Amino acid sequence: MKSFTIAGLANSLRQKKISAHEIAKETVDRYKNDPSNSVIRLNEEKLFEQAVAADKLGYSNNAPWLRGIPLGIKDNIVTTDTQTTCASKILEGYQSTYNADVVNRLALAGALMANKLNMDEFAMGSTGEYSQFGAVLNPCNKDYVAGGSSAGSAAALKAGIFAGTLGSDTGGSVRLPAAFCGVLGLKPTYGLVSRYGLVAFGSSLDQIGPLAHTVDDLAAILEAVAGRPKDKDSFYWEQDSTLSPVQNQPYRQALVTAANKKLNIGVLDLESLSKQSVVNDEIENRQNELISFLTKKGHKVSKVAIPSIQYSVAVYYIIAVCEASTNLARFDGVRYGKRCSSGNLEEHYTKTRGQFGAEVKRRILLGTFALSAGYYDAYYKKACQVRRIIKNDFINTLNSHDLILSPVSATTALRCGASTDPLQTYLNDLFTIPANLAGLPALSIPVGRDKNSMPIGAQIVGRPFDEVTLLSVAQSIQTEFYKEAEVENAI
Amino acid sequence: MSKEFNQDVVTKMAKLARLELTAAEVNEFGNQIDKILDYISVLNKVDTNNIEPLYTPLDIENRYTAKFSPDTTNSASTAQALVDIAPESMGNHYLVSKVITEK
Repeated sequence: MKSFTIAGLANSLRQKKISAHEIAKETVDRYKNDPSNSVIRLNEEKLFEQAVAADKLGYSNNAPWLRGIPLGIKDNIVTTDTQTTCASKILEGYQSTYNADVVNRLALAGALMANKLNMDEFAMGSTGEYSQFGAVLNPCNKDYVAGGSSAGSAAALKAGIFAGTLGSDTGGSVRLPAAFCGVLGLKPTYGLVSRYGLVAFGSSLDQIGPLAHTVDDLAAILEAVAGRPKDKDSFYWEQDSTLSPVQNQPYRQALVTAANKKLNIGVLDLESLSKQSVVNDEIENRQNELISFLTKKGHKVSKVAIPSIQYSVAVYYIIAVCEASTNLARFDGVRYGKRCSSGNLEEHYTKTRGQFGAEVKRRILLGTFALSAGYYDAYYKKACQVRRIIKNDFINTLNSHDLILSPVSATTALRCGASTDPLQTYLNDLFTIPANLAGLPALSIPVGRDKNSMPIGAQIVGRPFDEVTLLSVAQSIQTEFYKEAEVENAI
Repeated sequence: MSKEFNQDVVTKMAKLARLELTAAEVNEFGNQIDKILDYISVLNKVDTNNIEPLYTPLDIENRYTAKFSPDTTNSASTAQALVDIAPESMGNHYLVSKVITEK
């Protein structure tokens, strides 16, 4: 079964080889036969409605690039036409009264949606096993996890159901599943993509990001949702006051101009991380082969040490859980979601919130503790101080380097059921967390397979709002170093 | 082991967070969180003297007063639409369990 790429579908539509209606039909078919449990729900009626409307508008050369193409949307991004549940029982039946900004912008760009992708409950998890709607399996091998928390965003893409998807990334939740499943995944610079309509987990860390098979496709999704549109007024910031004033730019075009630029690449010195993480040999070897390739291409490659990264897991698992304990306080069964009615009001709250899964409860408890009287300074404030140190170290490194190369994680995809210790699972996020703490753009790129044929990813972190450099390097890697089979064989 | 996060603390935090926990959960979470806090204590080694806490990656800037016009109503959803999706409502009120009980 061939995978879709956005460019492949867009060209086929323009050459009249296929219609949006046929694409939608194929999408529904693949969703119904999906062995990876990557899609939580798909509103067939709405999808066909959107497809018919797209076909009616047609595919002239002036038509928006994404017209007629179904894209997958993570279940924590709200839409009016399909329920949003964050893979949690507490939001069963929740139908949002408004669309997320990214959804409105994708609709304007012609994309079809009417679906929600499976994920770890409330984006808390890194394997995809914490969904209350069943675990997401890795399409490369169903004995392995897809990674999380945007598990469905990576798996539905790899399984060929959608040509592109949106996920969200708070500590690596787009990049890790992308690496485990062998697709591209980008966490944009904090403030580039609106969080209006993204169910908040860690508000100072969350970013919505695209996943795709090719760099051109990734750029196509990004340019539809990123940056301030020219005609936006103050309401834009009323929706999300953390948005940057950076303007929308045409990333696909920018890629062409940025190609062949010679860069200063810093390779993260793993020794400097004080044995926090022992990276799997195959991942390290593959990274070394990648470094040789980049050197041959004329880039200046050197080692960089950022020792403060060794504290990033500790910092994150205070800040993220603190923000989460506040953000999830709104789920009380009063205004939306599934309520567990009981005697008095307090029981109503505790029983309703008792519907949260174990990982969500753990994080709320920890966050409540770290923010409580007597502990706030020792935990939350301290973590925020170390956060500044980590951010400063990254900014300093990026003064003399265009980007920083590292593994995405110490291992490739884990086997299903292997993650039993929460703390051990948290340590998998060591390499992805720093970009969220510092607000920097970070991209996960497939660079090979291990001896079990599971995908290996590499990560590049760049300067604020310099997504173009990251995309351009990824394109060079995908064209001349390594590409996954789907990229060759796509429709 | 710090043993800071014992069962009393779990129960107290659960009450603050309005979370219902089973006895097994109180025990299990107590142990797991205790281990996590132990790991987190590595931050005590970091010298944060004179370091301003970083609460958001952005430079904080007030975008409302200086640049934009005064408050205007621009709501994405009407009040009624919001009340309609509640589990229990009456008119434009949310219904909840009794707060005040008769003695």
